[in-house]
Amino acid sequence: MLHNASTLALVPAASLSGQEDWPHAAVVSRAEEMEGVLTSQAPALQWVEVEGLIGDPSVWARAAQGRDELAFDVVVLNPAVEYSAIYRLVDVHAVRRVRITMPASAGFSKAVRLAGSLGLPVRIVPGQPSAEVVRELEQAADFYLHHAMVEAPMEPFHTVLAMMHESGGENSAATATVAAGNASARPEAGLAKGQEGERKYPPGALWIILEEDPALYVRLNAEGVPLYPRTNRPVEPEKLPRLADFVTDHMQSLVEEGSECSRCKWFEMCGGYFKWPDRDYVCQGVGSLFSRLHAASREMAADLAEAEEEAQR
Amino acid sequence: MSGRVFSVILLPTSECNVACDYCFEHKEPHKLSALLVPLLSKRLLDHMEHEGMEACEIYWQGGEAMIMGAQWFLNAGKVMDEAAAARGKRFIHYLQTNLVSYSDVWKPVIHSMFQGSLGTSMDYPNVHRKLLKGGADSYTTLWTRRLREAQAAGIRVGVIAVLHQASLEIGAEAFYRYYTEELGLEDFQVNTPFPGGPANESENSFILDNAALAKFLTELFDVWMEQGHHKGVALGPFDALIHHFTGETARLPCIWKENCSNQFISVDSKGTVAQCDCWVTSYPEYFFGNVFQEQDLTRMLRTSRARQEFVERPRRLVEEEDCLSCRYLSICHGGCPVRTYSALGTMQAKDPYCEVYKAVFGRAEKYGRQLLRKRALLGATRPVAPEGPGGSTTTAAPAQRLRPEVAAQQPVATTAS
Ligand code: SF4
Ligand code: SF4
Ligand code: SF4
Ligand code: SF4
Repeated sequence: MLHNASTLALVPAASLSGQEDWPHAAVVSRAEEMEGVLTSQAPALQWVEVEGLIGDPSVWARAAQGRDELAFDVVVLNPAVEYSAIYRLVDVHAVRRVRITMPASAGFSKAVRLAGSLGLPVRIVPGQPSAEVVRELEQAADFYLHHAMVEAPMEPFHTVLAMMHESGGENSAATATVAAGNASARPEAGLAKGQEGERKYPPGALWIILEEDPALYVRLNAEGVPLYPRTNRPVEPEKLPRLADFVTDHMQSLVEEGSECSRCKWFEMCGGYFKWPDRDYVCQGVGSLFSRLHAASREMAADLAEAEEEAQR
Repeated sequence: MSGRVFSVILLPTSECNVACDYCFEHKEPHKLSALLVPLLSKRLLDHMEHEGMEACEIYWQGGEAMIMGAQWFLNAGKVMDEAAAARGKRFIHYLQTNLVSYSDVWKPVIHSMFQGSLGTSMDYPNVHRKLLKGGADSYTTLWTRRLREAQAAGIRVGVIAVLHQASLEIGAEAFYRYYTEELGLEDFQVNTPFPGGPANESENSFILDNAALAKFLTELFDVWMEQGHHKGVALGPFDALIHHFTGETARLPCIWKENCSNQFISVDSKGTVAQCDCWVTSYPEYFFGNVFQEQDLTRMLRTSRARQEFVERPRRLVEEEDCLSCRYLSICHGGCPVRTYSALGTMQAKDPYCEVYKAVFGRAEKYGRQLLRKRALLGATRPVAPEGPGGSTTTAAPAQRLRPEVAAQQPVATTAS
């Protein structure tokens, strides 16, 4: 079920044999596991996720040896405290692609600033942010938008902005029709050009941008059982056949129960991302973050139009 | 992914044939023995192999490097290059010299070993560079003659100018004209001074007022943009800053690297290893070890407590100074350890030239914006560089990093030579 061409499995490094021929990322959480993944012959190893090791210089010294196509996603679990250790990745970044992933926990924006200043792409996993963290997300978005020195993509802002720029971003119809599109499509497919004003992304795109849509990214535990996104909870055996439809099912159930999502103008893009795992999470601040990005995408469009006009004059 | 650059500032001697007021070298009569060059090469190559690096830049300087003699260089270069080739690696040699002993015998060495170029230094006005017998004026006369001879031999000469009080007094316009018109140079760079090494009488005259220095440098930036940039005159480090602020790959001087300890080491004629020439000649308390006495350079660099201070410095600065909130963190990272250490007695603080750098970065950013706008109007696109394990899910333009035509650049590391 999982080992198909369109799903990428994130697997604990200790569970890998090194012979896997299905798309996967190795999740390294102990320094001893690093050697194995760096010398792995697995033909379908896509990248290495390194979790909780940012403070271990020996790991990064090893990862900086030689030049390699194997990319690293470095998860900084406690960004408010560990941010300065991102400097340890400078040498690694010179020899391979490196991205920083971090939870949006209080104080995370220090890590955003430093990673952005070092030219490292960033993925911020918002989860279900407190009001304080939503404000920090807004600051991080401002930093990404307005800091001339930050060029590497910072997700989810980078792609959300691009999508808003392409298609407006708000729901394409007054009530979201979850059935539209194909949630299990790879992102590229969902981004195919459409008619003017049409949505150019799959419903619930935010799940894909954040690499949490189980149709495309499924995290396995040590026993090889898929976990629900952002939890350590294994998917029940009877639910496995519909795991690829997790986002559409989640969206559908939110609509059916009359959740605030059904009235939210960002529903198609967001897909009820913030209503997971706690469905009672209140989205007020998140909506204003989307609105801010939307306003920025309009400004960008206006600036571009002005520049084009000027160029034609 | 630009690949790691490994650079060794190699001092085959600390002896010198001139007497600059601000020199921080201990001018001991000691030379690197030709017999030790194979061992030195082996140590460097072992380290490169261990770190998976294909090439190593060797910046030969002194003291005065030419004291070693042209033939010595030919032999040393041959030994090093053959050793590297046997292991599938490469040394790329650069030469920094005061030029006063240049003669025609150097021509073939410079063309064969140093890609036909060399770096030298001259200040304007020259008041501190002096011959052993004779003052600054005689130095200038002799140096200028040597410059012409080298240029006539088809050698490209890059010049480093160390700023001092008289430079600030004479002003940016006259300063620029001296290098471009009087000397006819198309490639020179300005360095900020620092009172490195043992104290000497003229040390105080090298402590410049930050506001005056910032004013001079920003004015020089203006003059260069107005008169030289569009004509291809390279004025470091402004040219690298313009690359940076227009989204091109920039080879910034070491003082603005994320961490200079990632790239540089310096080795003196006795095999002492330290961060750069400034440290190896001046601060024994920060030596990393000795490359002839210790078999494993990689291990030395990994385990040296002195080096750890360099490695950890940018990390500590973003925690303890205000660099994290600085608009220019991405280009400065707290500045130069030796400039900090020589002024404050600790390297765990931001560079005392912070305000000067900010002024220069601000100027570069302004000009960078103007150039980008001009390019946009002419139809060029701004480079975008999406990267990351999952790639980007946007329809944004594909990554296009413009490669610079990197000419041989000296690390902006020294007031010596
Ligand atoms: S209400 Fe919240 S979770 Fe639901 S679509 Fe809107 S922003 Fe997303
Ligand atoms: S300009 Fe000053 S504050 Fe900014 S990074 Fe450099 S030393 Fe730090
Ligand atoms: S001059 Fe400063 S920045 Fe450059 S290598 Fe030496 S200590 Fe580092
Ligand atoms: S600064 Fe250089 S050229 Fe001048 S005396 Fe010292 S070593 Fe010699």
